[in-house]
Amino acid sequence: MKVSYNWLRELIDFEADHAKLAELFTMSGSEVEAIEPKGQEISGIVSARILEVNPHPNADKLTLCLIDNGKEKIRLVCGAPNARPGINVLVGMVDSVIAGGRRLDKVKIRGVESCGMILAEDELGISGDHAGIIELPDEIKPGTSLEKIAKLDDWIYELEITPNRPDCLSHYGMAREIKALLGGRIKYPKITINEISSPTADELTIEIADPQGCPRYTGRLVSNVKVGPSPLWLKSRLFYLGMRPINNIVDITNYIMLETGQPLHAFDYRHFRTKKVVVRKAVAGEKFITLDNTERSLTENHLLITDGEKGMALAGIMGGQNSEVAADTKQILLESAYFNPVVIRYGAKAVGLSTESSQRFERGVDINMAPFANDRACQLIAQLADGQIHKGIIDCYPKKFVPAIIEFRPQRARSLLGLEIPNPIMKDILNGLDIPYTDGPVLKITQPSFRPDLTREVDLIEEIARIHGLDKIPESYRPGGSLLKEPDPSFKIRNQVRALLVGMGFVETFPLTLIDSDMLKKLDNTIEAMNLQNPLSEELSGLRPDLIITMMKTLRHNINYGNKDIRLFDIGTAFIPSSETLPVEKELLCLGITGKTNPTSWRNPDKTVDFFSLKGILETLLSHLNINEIELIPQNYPYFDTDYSFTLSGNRNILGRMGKVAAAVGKQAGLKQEVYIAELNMAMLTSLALEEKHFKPLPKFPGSDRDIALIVDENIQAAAIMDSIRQSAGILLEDLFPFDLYQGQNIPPGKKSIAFRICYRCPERTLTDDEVDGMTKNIIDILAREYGATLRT
Amino acid sequence: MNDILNDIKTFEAEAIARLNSVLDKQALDALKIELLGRKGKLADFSKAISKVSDEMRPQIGAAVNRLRKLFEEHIASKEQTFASAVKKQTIDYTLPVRADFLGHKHPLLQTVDDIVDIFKSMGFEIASGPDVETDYYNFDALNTPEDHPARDLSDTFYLKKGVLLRTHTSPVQIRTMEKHKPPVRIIAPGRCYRSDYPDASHSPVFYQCEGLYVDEGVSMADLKGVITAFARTMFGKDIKVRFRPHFFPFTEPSVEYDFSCVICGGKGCRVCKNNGWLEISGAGMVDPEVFRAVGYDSEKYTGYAFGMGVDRITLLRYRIDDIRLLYENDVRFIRQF
Repeated sequence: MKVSYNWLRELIDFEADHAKLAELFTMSGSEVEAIEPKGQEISGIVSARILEVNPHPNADKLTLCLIDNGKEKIRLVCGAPNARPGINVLVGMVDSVIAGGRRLDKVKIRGVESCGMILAEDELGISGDHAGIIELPDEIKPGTSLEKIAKLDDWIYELEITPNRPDCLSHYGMAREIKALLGGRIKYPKITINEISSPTADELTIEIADPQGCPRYTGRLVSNVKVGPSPLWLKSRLFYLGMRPINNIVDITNYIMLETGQPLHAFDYRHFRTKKVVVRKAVAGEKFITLDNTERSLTENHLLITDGEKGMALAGIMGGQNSEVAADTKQILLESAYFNPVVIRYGAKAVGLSTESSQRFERGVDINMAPFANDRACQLIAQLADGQIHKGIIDCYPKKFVPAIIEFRPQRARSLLGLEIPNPIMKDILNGLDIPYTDGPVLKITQPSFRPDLTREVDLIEEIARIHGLDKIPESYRPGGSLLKEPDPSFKIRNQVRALLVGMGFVETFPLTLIDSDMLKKLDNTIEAMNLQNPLSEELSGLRPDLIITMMKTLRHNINYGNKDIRLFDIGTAFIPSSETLPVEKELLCLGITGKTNPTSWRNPDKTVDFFSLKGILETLLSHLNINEIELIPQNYPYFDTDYSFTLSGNRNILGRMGKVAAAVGKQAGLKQEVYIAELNMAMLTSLALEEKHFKPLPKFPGSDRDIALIVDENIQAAAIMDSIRQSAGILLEDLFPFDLYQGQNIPPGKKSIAFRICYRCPERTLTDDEVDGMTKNIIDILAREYGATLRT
Repeated sequence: MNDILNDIKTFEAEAIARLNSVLDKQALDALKIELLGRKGKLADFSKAISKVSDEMRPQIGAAVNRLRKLFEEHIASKEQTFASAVKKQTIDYTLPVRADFLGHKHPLLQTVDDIVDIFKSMGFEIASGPDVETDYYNFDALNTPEDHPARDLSDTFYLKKGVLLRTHTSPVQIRTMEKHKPPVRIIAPGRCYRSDYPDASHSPVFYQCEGLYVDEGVSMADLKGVITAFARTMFGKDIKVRFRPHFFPFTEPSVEYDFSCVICGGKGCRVCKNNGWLEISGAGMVDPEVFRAVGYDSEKYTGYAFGMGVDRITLLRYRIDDIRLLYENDVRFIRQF
């Protein structure tokens, strides 16, 4: 909302320049988002009278105007269609400065010299209007300085008013804030109305059919108004505050709204043939044309101002085209009402409108302001549009405002704020905010009608805090014993995994959890994922059902940007659809590798990652987490190549899956390289990693190693051979691993050479060579028997 | 005639220092001539002997001879060092190796780690909740009226009626208080979602950290203390904190808190829009309505809650100018941190 510094100054005396006041507003809850200087550059503008208008010798559309500026008579070139002898205008002479800081100079226009210009509104920055020059009232003498006609210099604040503070959406409201902060008294305008004898009630009845939607409606008739442009001061004020000046009647209603916070509406009353106002709910499907010339289709949640037959205004939101004030309007009905905030909010949203009026009603205006604002507008209409005010206002108030009565304990305020603030200061603050109370150890506070947000003690404590100043609240450092109730070990393990992976050259990623559901379907239409009802775009339309889908997207991005040799990981949530209200959220770890195994270097030959690269990484990672007995069980999974698709288990528990992304999937997903991905369940990793570790004594006796190279059928698995070796060697086997694998020259087709290192150790004594050789021979015999293995020589 | 002896002393110190700092054979040869050569400094001293008194002559002579010997020893030892260095150098130790890929933690999660560490040290426990929430936990229990604009489809992602992606981490407050009797003191980091089109400062998925402390006698001064302690640990001891009144349905009184600009120190710069303060997030005293929803006695217990935009803090601390970089996961970006 915009407020004018000068307007506030008219309402209350205070000592703070525009910058200081902005600071005070911000620090008391009305954040000043911008301060705009207005009209401060303008200087040297005076009034003048046009004496003669003659044609320009060289241009049809221009004229030469002889003007009297109080000092001298000079000729100026003018292009305005409304330039005519006898009118009073504003002129800038050489060296005068107009809006935008432009200094006027002597100029030649189509061969004729002009020592100044007659000004239009846009040249003073008081509207965007350049259709004609400004016409001043007849009584203004030539040579009167602009400052005496209208005060144009001002500071305009753009305020962010929080939704709980409708009272701040007016100059009265902000003046009250100043009063609370700095003291003083608000100078509300004195209202004197000269009524004509004809009563409003003779020509108008008001009927509220929906008191819930419209608890109060006041109306008054004003006759013989002269609709025309508003005076300069009024136009500029509205324009500065972001409203377009229209005509004096409409401008006055807007002005009073900005002043009091009460939205008003003026109807051309000749269109009310029934001479009554009926406020009712709209009928579903009812059509109504608002004054922006748009037909609106209404629902039963809309509130309509009618003449008992047809709609005249969409209550609180926008007037109707059929009763708009026009140049020939003579009699107006001035509405000042209170509409239910919820009704207006729904109504405005349903028709997609947000107006200055609806914004105020939907936050809650002051129900007690309605008659005052009506009177105040009538007063101005009488002054500025010669209106004749009918006797008496009709005030239909079926649902009275019932204020909350709040018990306020000063001690409670002190303890909640942690601030020693004495009672008298609190009372000063309440007085400053016009919050009435009866004194006592506990203050009995009556909620003011302009503060719908104050219904509880804590609401009042906030008032005390913000006016007294949050900067006065001290910083307290209280001793904090631990309140740990349920230690959650998952954080520790997660951080351990992250550290390990970073040490192994993995880059941690943190992708959006929103995915392209369509893409998912294309990759694998068996995967179920949850979709958003209102996605921003197809790309972000679903929730990831696994981490592989987002890992592939991250890999694609990087490969496309030339980061081709990468190891990535992501620890995060996958969302698995469920019949319950909420999906199952599973924390997973995803690894993705592609490109070379290490940076290109003179030291290592370039090698591309393969399936065993990923398996090796997993073995290292898991063994560090105390998870061993890693096994792969072939199983088909979505995304993966069926030849490289496995369930991964460790310590005889299923940990997750790993595989190579299938060529077709990779192509569809835009992956230009082979990628290998594993996805592990963090909950399982955590529970296994948390198993206690116990110390094993270091060996006292040396061990013995034997290497055997076997030739076996190529489809015999290493695991089978290793199982046989383990069984045969028994407890003396300390370690066993393959160290060479070969097929090709010297090996018969269909066979492979595989070499194992067998490490023996006895905890009680040193093994003799004979023993070790004997056990090894035994193993070789068994392998020959079981697998037809022969020793490679 | 002590002047000459003093000169010799000064010369000795200078010469030895220069000998010690010689780096190669060439420089050493040059210095050798300068010190010991026929036109060298030592020769000058020898010539001066003839001009001094008889009793001084032996003293100066001895000093010059001592120096000559000293220099010769130093030079010999240096020559040997240089000679052996040339011989020993059998590998080109200048070859860069590039042995392994370097891993990096994501900058956003590094920030989360730091935030969590700071609050853990102040006795906060880590809590978490689901990303997909019911409107009860995300709005109702947090005293957000049914017609509040935050509930609109234009602000909140819905999966079905009453089920949505949490718009803040505040539902964790409710879930924690439902489970535990006071006192509770938690910090809850996590992803949040709002229907914002991605641009340099918005992301539909973002990261928040929630704090909550409920106990007997918790006050706004405690809140200020904890936020200030956090600000100074995170950004340095000179950071100032300011509270501005604000409005949130789930706290009363509510504030927005600002840090003095971490870029310019509060003098005013582009990042703080020249006002010296950076808006960080919202906080306040837990609204009695929230306590009512979880069955806490709001007369007996009071508490504070605060939010924290982890993305914003990450952007600030690393001077990153586009939030989308955080979620794009380009390794060239992540490897910078």
